[in-house]
Amino acid sequence: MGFESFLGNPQAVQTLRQMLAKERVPGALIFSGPEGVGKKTLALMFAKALNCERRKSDDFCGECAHCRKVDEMARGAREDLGRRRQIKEAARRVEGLIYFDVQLIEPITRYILVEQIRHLRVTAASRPFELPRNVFVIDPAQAIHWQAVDLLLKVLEEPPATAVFILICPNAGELRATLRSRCQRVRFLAVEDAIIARLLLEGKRAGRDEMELAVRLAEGSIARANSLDLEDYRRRRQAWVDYLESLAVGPETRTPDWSRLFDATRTLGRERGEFEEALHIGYTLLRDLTGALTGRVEGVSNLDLLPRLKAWSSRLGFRTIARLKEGLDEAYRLQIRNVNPQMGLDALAVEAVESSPRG
Amino acid sequence: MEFSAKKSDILRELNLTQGVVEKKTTIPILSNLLLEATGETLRISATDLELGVRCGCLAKIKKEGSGTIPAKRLLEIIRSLPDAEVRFKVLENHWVQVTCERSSFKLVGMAKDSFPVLPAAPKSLASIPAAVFASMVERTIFAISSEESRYTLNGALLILKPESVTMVATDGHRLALVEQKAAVKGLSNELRLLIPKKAMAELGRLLAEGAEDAVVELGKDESHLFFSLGQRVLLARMLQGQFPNYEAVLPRENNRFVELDKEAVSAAIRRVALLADERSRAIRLQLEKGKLEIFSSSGEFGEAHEVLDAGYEGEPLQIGFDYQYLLDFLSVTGRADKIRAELKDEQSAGQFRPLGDNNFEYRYVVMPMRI
Repeated sequence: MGFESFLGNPQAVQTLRQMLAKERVPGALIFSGPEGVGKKTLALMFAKALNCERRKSDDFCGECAHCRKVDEMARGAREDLGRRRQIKEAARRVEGLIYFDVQLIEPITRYILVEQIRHLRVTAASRPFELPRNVFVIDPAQAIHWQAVDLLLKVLEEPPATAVFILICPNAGELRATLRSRCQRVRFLAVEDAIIARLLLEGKRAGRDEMELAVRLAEGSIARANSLDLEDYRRRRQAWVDYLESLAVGPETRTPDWSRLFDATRTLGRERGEFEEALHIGYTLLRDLTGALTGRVEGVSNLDLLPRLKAWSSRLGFRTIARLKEGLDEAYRLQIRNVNPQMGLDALAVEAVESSPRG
Repeated sequence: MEFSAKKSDILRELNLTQGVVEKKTTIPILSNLLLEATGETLRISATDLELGVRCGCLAKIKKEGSGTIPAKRLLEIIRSLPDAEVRFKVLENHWVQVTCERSSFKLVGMAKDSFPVLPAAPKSLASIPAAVFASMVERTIFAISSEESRYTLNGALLILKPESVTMVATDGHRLALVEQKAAVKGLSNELRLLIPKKAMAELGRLLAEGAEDAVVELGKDESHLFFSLGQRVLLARMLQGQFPNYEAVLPRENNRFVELDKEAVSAAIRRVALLADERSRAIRLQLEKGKLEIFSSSGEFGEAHEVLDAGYEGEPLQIGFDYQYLLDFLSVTGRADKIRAELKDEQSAGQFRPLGDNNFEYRYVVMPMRI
């Protein structure tokens, strides 16, 4: 098993393999691109290639002691993060940090904390313990606490000879320019539909009749394709369908079905732990509404709703759709601060009705 | 694995491993010790992925094998046992049974496969007397920087030459340098090793346990330093980077000398420091003909002043120092009963040396404070 087992993004794989073949591996890399396309997976493969005992120029074996050790270290780091997140007392969550030679650095709280980056510097200042090279994978890099970014800059500027830093993020533009300028960028794209369709088929995630819908919903993400459950998706989408349908009333009714709408926001608000995912479904629907309004249906994800999307979009109008999108942006920002999402969505609906072309 | 060994033997070795095991780690295997029973010996290994220690003792081995046991619990158990033979036996699911006389414990162990692989010590590059090494560690360790941003200062530099051993450490504010004539075996050229602070602390512990005439074997591979003392091995990850050129900061033009009684000056600094500013820890030394005056003042608590007789003949001079830096030095000057201060002016680094102990050359350079 080597790089050929990685699905999609041949360009990114090629870039990394060339670095290996030429023995010109930069000390700091940014892997940027959509969620779920395998950035972290490829980062760990790269860590194996950098450490593989039987490395063939630009590829790794996946079976030698070092390759297996990388897997073990990644697993160990994930388990450690899980245990630390369980600790109630905030200060104790970052006590006694120990990093493996290949280390995943992820948020313990909402952020990657100063102590985590400080320990990263200490670890990187020495040679690795068990493997030839240290690889530190910071995921997601935009979660690094602002106070910790400065600490990281120094070490990225002059990375120690035996260490490679990989910063993972959906959009490199979100990172500070000073961080970006110190790293070489490797771009990832959404995975091709054919690969997604194959995964969906292999995983029995969708039948042939629903394949097109499933592929679009997976949005080029391998992670989504591997976990897609159409039935569950429809169930979770229903609240948004109710929300939009209640808002997009025809000229004959004039006022929205408030009770149905508030039921919908209550359901959405209840998905507290997974509100981000719920928001994602909302965003997809709004994007589809725009697509339906402008007649660009090839980009519509929720294909099964197409006739309704067309009807809703013409009733809501572009301005209301845009306002709803801003409302979701706001909800996304506020969820970090534990604001009640239901109230926000209710207020948004009231505002949208007032601003709708009908009024 | 099944074996028995004397409580005192096991306890002595376990004590050596405790400093290496990180107490607050949340990675379970790293709070465990690896026990390996082969031939007639029990080998104990511990690591925090920064340091590793391997030690062991004689044991009666009934069945060879290995297992891992929680380090802290095992130490507490062994410590509490009567002075007798302790038996170990690995049970199913990696549990380990520990019995001694009429006490019995079953400890939850872990699979030994997940225990990190500690590299084997390579061929020795040089060997030096443990006593020499120990005294050098003690005299420099406190000056090592703890600031992680200056990582090349997070260790002490050991310079080995065929006829001498030198160790130097600095944190940018002070520098401790010890040099001793000693026969370094197995060495034809100069060898420089940068020893991390934590390894220095553990070395201190390891060396203190060794016999008086013991010898430390030094070795290194690509990533690690190895210090072997008989069966015991301490290994440490090598620091990246180069130690700065310390020779450039050694004062050469200090021309005001004063010799002071070590005990008297230590006691005086300690007393005056009681009213020094808590944050800056500054005290002021004022040299005049025949005497040294020490002052401190704190806006919050008041002022202190003490006069010491001193055979000073030069121009008057005032200079400020961090009292803790001076006390750190004074507490490790060994048998010397006098110290010599070599100063230039209030803005230049002061140099201190102990007198009366000719075994080694010890220089301590401290940057002054603005007062």
